[in-house]
Amino acid sequence: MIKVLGVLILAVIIFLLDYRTIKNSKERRDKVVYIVTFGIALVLSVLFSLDVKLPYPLDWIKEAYEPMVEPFNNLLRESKLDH
Amino acid sequence: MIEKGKISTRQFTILVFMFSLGTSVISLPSLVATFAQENAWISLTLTCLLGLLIVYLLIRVSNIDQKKNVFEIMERVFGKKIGKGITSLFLIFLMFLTAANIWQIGMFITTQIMVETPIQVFSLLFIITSLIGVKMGLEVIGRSSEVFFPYAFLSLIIMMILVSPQIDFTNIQPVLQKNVSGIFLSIFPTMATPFFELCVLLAILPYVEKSKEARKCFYIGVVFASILLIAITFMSLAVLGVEFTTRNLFPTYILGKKISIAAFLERIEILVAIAWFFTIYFKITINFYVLSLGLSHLFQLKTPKVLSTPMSFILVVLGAYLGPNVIHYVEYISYYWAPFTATFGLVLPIVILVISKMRKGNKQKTSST
Repeated sequence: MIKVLGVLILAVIIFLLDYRTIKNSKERRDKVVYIVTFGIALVLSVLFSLDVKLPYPLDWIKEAYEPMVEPFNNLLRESKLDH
Repeated sequence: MIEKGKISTRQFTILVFMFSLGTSVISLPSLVATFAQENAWISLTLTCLLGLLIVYLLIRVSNIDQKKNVFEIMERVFGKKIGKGITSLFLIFLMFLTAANIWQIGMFITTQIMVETPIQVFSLLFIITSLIGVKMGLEVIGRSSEVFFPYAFLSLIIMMILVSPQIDFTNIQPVLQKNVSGIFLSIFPTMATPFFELCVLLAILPYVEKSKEARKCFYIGVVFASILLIAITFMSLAVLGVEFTTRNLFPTYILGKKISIAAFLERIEILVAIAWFFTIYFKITINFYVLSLGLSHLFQLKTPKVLSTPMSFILVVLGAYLGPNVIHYVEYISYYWAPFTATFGLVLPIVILVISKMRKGNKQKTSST
């Protein structure tokens, strides 16, 4: 619980310090995009501090490239030092 | 154009040098020696020659329109909607790249220097310093790289000079006898970190002062970094031997540990490591800057500074998830990082060039009929 409170307090401080990057902009689009991205960052940080297991993006990339690259990788593995 | 600053050609050369040397110094000697063993320096020379071809390809892409950065070129060549889709894929690649770099430097410090500190401390330190750099703008990044360049360059050269009495040439023999196919096979994973990631620099090329000289400076920076990389790999093979270089994660750091002058001046490997902090810091800052630039181009915002603060925390969390442990990291950069970078560093520029030529052909046909 304390971790989540710590992250939330940090987020509020950073938001107050950083508000002037979009305070003077005239379009609404800047503010909306900033707040949405800030919300995503906040959710991710809270989930991370609670040690929740999120899916690994690297595994998706590995699965996506595996069928193409597997023959070449087998050749590579054969040329290692102690195969 | 969103960004209005300009950097000089000398600053651009230094930025290219620091960018391609950045994480290569950490990961490359061990990677090449795993597959090419004692001929790793020959393999690395061939890789660097091929890398110059990649630089030629990138300069041809930038010559499509010399004043536009890579996101605007993609929109012009592919059209608005497909251009935005490919831009978002490129930005996802950039996010992974930046997060991986932050995690790499954190892993290096945690495993070698300050063993009991958790890795998030170093990730936060590096990303907050990069955030300050991005908020100050491109000109400040260029000028500060000029300040730090002599230290980084000289400390690497002095380290190699001081270690050279311990060279044992029997460690590199037999030359080109065993495992010749390994030399050519290991070119592909090795090209990933220094050369395929150079596509990121296409976004900064229009903001350099004199366009013609900037193209020459791109080559000069890459050649400098390649020479230094080949020299470092040669040194670590000759001084430490093949098996030691293969099994260690950071052979260049062990090279630094071997410096001992007259049995009096020892343990100065940290000064070598500080040179690496600079090069990796500039690599992280340039990646982060191009990421902010791309995001503000995608959402059509006013300045590249708007989305940088939230992105920095997303990157820290992503970095912690990219590297659950070291073994996963070693396996990944040996086999799967190269195809991922190759799609954006090799395939994407070729596709852009081919489609832009086809569009020019179509325009000439319709204007002549």
